[in-house]
Amino acid sequence: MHRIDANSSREFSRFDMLSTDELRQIIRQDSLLNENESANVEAILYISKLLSDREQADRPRDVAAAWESFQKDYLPYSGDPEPLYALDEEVPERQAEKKKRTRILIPAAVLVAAILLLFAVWIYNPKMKASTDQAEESLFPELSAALSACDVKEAVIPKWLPKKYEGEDLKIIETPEGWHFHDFCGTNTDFIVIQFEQFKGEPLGHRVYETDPGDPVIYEAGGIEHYLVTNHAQRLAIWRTEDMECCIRGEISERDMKRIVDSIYE
Amino acid sequence: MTVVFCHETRGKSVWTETRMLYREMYSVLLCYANAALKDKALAEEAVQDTFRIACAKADDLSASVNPRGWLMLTLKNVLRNTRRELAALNQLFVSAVSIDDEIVLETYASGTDYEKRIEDDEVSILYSDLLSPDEYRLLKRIVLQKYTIRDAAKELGISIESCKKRIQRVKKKLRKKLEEEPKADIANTSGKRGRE
Repeated sequence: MHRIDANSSREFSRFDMLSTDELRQIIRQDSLLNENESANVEAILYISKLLSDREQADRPRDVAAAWESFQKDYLPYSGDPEPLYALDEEVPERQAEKKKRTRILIPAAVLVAAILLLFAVWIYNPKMKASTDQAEESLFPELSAALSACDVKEAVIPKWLPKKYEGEDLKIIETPEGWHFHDFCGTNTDFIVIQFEQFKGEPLGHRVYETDPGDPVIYEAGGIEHYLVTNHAQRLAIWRTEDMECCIRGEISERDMKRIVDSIYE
Repeated sequence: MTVVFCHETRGKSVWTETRMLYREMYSVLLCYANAALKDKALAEEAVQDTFRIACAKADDLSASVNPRGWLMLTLKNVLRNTRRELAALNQLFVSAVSIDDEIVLETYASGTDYEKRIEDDEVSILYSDLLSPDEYRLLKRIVLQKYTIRDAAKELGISIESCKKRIQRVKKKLRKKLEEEPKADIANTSGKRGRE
């Protein structure tokens, strides 16, 4: 990985002799070059670093404040790779077409899924009924007790999980923002993790979830939008309630994940 | 609180890498943007936007053998866009403002700050039926008062994304109307309406 102050220091040290105004003028001229006109990026990085070093008063404070603002104001908009000042098209044509197609395809897919679901319920009714009866006993006695102790009244705990993820290993950690609940279900090789963050007040920053490229699927259940994403082999469901952030993750199918989410509100 | 999704590439945390690059490169890029734009607030926004794009294109940044150079080239593109779009908005604003053409020509010729003159004059938009007062105010903030998109968004109590979309809509509306009207008609109408 290149660093600004490695070999380039010797190569570009002649710029050290120039005044700050002269360096700014070089940068200004460079910024006016067209995209296709070649410029020495390393030289420009060196000059910018030189200027930055000369103006370094208050820098740590500025960078910290800028980082705060970046996380709060700009990062939530990181799904768009276009510059902010790309103001020509409200919705690029291809995206608009894609959205139009999605508008047609999603209701059709939902209709087909509903028909299939009704068929499955009809075929497997006794089995499902048994599973529902079991769920009423609460699959997560420790987690339920812990959340009750913390006065959590919202429905956040699933009432259904695939059978192989039985058993739980609960950890509760106090954080500066509140409480973190981490419930591990299954074995070391095949597991589902249920996580809740309960906030005492306003959260201090953003939670970051690493995902595969692509937009999250928004799945609504219980009147709440759940973000379904994948990260390598794992699938995640992430959602917010009034004062909690919740996440369920594991190597499971989207169908099972939706069923787990649905079971929360049953 | 907002949930943020950041892509993971080849098992390496791009988020951590971006955060480290931010700490190292923010001031460096800001110096470049400041010198290029000669406007501190716009320069800061350009640098923030550069890092936002870096998050959006995390795979590209991660694959680059020279991430610092990648950031610098991205910043330069951001700056080019900023200049071009602000100039285009300026042009639209001047075309749509109902003041005498003579005033515009006179102020251009005399080299005085035409934006100041427009601001000082009692202005109304030529197509007032087209832009709502809020839309006009937003355009004025961006074009005349050099607000950043973040500052305009804060004033309106909306997100940066929504603010950008509003500016896009305003620009599209104005441009469409100006394209529909023959130039001569615009000049005549603007003169008349300006005095009403």
